[in-house]
Amino acid sequence: MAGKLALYKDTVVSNFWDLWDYLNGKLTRVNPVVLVVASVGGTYFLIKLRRLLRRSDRPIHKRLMGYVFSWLRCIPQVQRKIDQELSKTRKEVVDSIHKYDTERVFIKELPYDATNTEKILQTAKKYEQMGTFGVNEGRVSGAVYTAYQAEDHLELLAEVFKSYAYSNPLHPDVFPGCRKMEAEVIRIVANLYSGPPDACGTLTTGGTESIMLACLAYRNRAQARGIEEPLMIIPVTAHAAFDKAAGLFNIRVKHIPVDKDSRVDVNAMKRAITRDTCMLVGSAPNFPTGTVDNILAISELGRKYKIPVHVDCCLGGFLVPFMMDAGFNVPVFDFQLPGVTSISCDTHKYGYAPKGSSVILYRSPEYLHHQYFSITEWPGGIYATPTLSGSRSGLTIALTWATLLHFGRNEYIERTKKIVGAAQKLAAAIPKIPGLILHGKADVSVVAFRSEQFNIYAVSDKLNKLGWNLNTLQYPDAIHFCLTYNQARDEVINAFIKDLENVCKEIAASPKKGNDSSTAAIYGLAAQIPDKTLVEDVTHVFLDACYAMPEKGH
Amino acid sequence: MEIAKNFLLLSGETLQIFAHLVEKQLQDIEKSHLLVATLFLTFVITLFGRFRDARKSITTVVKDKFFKVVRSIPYVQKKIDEEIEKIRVDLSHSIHASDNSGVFCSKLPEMGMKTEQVVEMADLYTKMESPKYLEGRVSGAVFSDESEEEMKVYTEVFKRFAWSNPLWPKLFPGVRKMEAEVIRMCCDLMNGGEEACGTMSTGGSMSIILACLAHRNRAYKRGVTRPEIILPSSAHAAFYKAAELFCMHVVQIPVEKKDHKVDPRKIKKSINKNTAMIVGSTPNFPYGSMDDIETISEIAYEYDVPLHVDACLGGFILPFLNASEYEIPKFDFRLRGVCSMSADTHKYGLTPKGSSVVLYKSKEYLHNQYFCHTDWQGGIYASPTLEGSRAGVNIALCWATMLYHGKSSYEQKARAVVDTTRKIRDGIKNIPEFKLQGASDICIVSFTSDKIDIHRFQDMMNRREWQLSALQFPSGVHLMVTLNHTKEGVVEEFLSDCREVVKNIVDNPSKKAEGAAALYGMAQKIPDRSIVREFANAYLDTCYSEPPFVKKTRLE
Repeated sequence: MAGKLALYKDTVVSNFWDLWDYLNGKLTRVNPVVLVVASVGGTYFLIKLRRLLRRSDRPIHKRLMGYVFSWLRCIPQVQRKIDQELSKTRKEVVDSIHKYDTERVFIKELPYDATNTEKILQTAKKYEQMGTFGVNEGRVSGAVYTAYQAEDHLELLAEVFKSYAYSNPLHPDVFPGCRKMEAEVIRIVANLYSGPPDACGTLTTGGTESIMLACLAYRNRAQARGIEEPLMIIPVTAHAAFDKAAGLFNIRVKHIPVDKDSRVDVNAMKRAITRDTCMLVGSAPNFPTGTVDNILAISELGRKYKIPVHVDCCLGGFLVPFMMDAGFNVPVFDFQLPGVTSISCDTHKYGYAPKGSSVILYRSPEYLHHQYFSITEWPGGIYATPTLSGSRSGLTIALTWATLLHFGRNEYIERTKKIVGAAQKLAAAIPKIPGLILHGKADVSVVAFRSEQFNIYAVSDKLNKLGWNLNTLQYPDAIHFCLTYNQARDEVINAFIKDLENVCKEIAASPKKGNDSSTAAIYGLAAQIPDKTLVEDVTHVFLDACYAMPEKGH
Repeated sequence: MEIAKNFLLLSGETLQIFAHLVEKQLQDIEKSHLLVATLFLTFVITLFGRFRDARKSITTVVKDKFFKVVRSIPYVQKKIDEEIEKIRVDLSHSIHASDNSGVFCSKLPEMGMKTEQVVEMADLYTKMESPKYLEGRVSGAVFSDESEEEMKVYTEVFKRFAWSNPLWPKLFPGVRKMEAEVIRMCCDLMNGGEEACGTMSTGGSMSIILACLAHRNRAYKRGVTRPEIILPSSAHAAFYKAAELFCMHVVQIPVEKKDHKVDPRKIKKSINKNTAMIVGSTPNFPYGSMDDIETISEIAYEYDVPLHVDACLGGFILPFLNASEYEIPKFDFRLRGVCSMSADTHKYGLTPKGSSVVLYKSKEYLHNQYFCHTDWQGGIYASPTLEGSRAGVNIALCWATMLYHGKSSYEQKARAVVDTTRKIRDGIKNIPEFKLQGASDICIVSFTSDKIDIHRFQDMMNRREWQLSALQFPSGVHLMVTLNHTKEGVVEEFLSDCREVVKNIVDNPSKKAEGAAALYGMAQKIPDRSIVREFANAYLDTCYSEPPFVKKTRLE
């Protein structure tokens, strides 16, 4: 055995020297200057190429196409054509946003004199009533999760507003009350998610900030461990906030495909893990299809490879913890799973608090400390903040706190029963409508559907005309209805199913199968354009239009 | 033409001769050695380049490593842990001192509480003893006097817009319009032209972070790989935060000792091809002095680097002052180098907490702040700020406040704040033990002392229920003047208390400061800043902790 090994070693060594001589022989004819320049250049090129390849996980041919396309835009004729198209789009977009503003009176300068109270309230009322969708009648997907003007709840919130409008947890000594309220909200939510005694977290301004903070904490943690270019592994169905965080904080992203049920492919996730991986993500449920990922398996992966796992419960944050008590089946998704290290949960969705509040929880302070920011040498004092903001609205904290206490566990369970019940009713009705296919599993409160027979975006456009506002999805083309407390009534669900049936029938019968609807046009175009900066230009047009003065303003 | 031709020829020849020389030198080396050596060298140089890319300077890295090693000695570690534990107990005591309610909700109540019960409890929390900011006892924090009439309007507006969310402009067209109007009004205040634009945010830090993000992205688009911010040492902590978040490098310029302003010449010297932005403050937070924006703007314009003017504090004072009467230099979009500004509506704009604006000279800059995700399964996704869903109510409240006050009221209030500031400044100037830091002529009076222990001064003022902000490097304190300090008698009482406390300290020079102020004095002397960072963590942890009585009852 030993002899064999020695022999083996000899062969390897002699082979190596043979190769070495061969290389020398080959290279003698090469000019040494060329050799040096070529090897330096080659290495430099390889490093650049690696960096380029690692920067994004979009397929290389798509990126190349986009690159070529962006160069094409430098040609004046092409640019002119694009500008024409964009200005057409701009007009449409501006019209669609400003059409609710019928009076077209725009305040563009601070008035010199104080406006009297009556006038302010009158104008505010007018502005509020510009909205035309029947939120209270359950016509809108998501957006407002509780009865829009529930008298007693609003009365309570207004009372709280009066005492907390100016409070700010940045100064806990000046505002001990709202500091305490935040601590209580964190404890309450941590207990909902079976948090261990060490569990901790902070209140944020919304789901996006909660998610970004988790990504930030894990990036900082990875950097503290010597990982220079951290990578996060997320399902394609994860919320856009993860990609946002990646762009902001320079984290690389690997998107993992989902299976036919719209749950993330855990095996693909396992294969994607590298030593640079700073976090794994699962959603319970995800935004597009309302499907709960296999958190148990992801948690096991995280534990096996010692990688933090973030569970995004932003959307269903105040439904899933109550589903068991409400009599629905839901697999374990919270801190009971040992691999789960953080959870994001929106209190301003099914927690029924006013907009602007969400919670990010960690298993232990070890993770949270990577989220904290402190600067110890600032001339303005030792400065430390728990979240992205400096000053924060103590009001949001107080409103969330008051809402949680006002509702209590029972009311949340009752509402969960109604909302998830309604979603299951709708999900059961979808396959019965000719042409429609349920997209994902509709595990909680979102029901998504698509069609292989006609353009689904046309359905959304037509429903919009009937007063229903749904969300559009892509890859594949689909739409979803996010059910809130406003839809948790039989008459709303029945009316919707009836309208949906009619609309589908109409489109299936139409010659173009709905491909001529306006949303279909936008998404169709966006999918065709390889240069994503062009689609970005269109979204800029949209955002700019939101801040634009109406055309007939004075 | 001839010269150029000759030059080209000459340089070509030189290159050839050089190549030939190198070739001769390298001729004798074995080629494979050459190859391996070159590859190795390139690798090392790349590594070195990466080291340069790291955001810390080499001295900091060495220092950090050194302290890490020292701290790994068990004895040292034990000592430090003991100290930190002591501070943790102190902090816990001071944070929870005011909490005598005896309750702590750690679980959702089974049955919901009635409206009156919740309100009663909220009132209990409000009443937890706290400094009386409405009587002008606190530096900064609350800028409005919360008049009853005002609160009535805001409560009504709150009720209408509590659920609104500008993420859905078609569902909430009203709140969308309000934000557009607030931005237009603010652009107008800062003399931005038609092209000026911006967004609202949740606070000054957010506005600053957004501006840094936009300028970083602009630099990335121009091929800069390690963007730098040129930052006066007096700039707000949020810039350091942004740098940490967005992987930017801070080039810090210490302010001048004589006037606590940044020297524009030093800024000019620091500009290089990586510079993504320059920052100036009007005024800055520690000293309340205004940087020389006019000169900095010209430098920024010359080098085509965006200048951000941080007017978070002065944004709703300076535009309302008569410039010649109050000697206010230009600081806004009238200067051609100014590309972005931040102004807090929730400070001197007097709105409830949670609103601020970030403004840009033109859309070209703003577009670098926007986020869009064109490939998301949940649809094409676009948001103007860091948040997705946003609280529309903050926008509506800001809008209502601006209309409620109008220019005339802001003018009158700005004058009152500045006059009060200058009155306090003159009073402080007359106390021989104190030394003003900077001009202290807008909304902050900042001072230090080399004759008495300023931490002890702060501590003793605190006992008299005056809450001042602590400054460090050098140790100092400042008072941020709000509308509440302009009330009758506040200035006189403050100054007379200052004089009494100073006299007291001079009479008993041996006593030491106590409490948080003492901690400040100590923290400045610790060379290993990671320990101070742990103090900060402990402080934040304490804010979220259960009050001590909870543990006690649990044990019982």
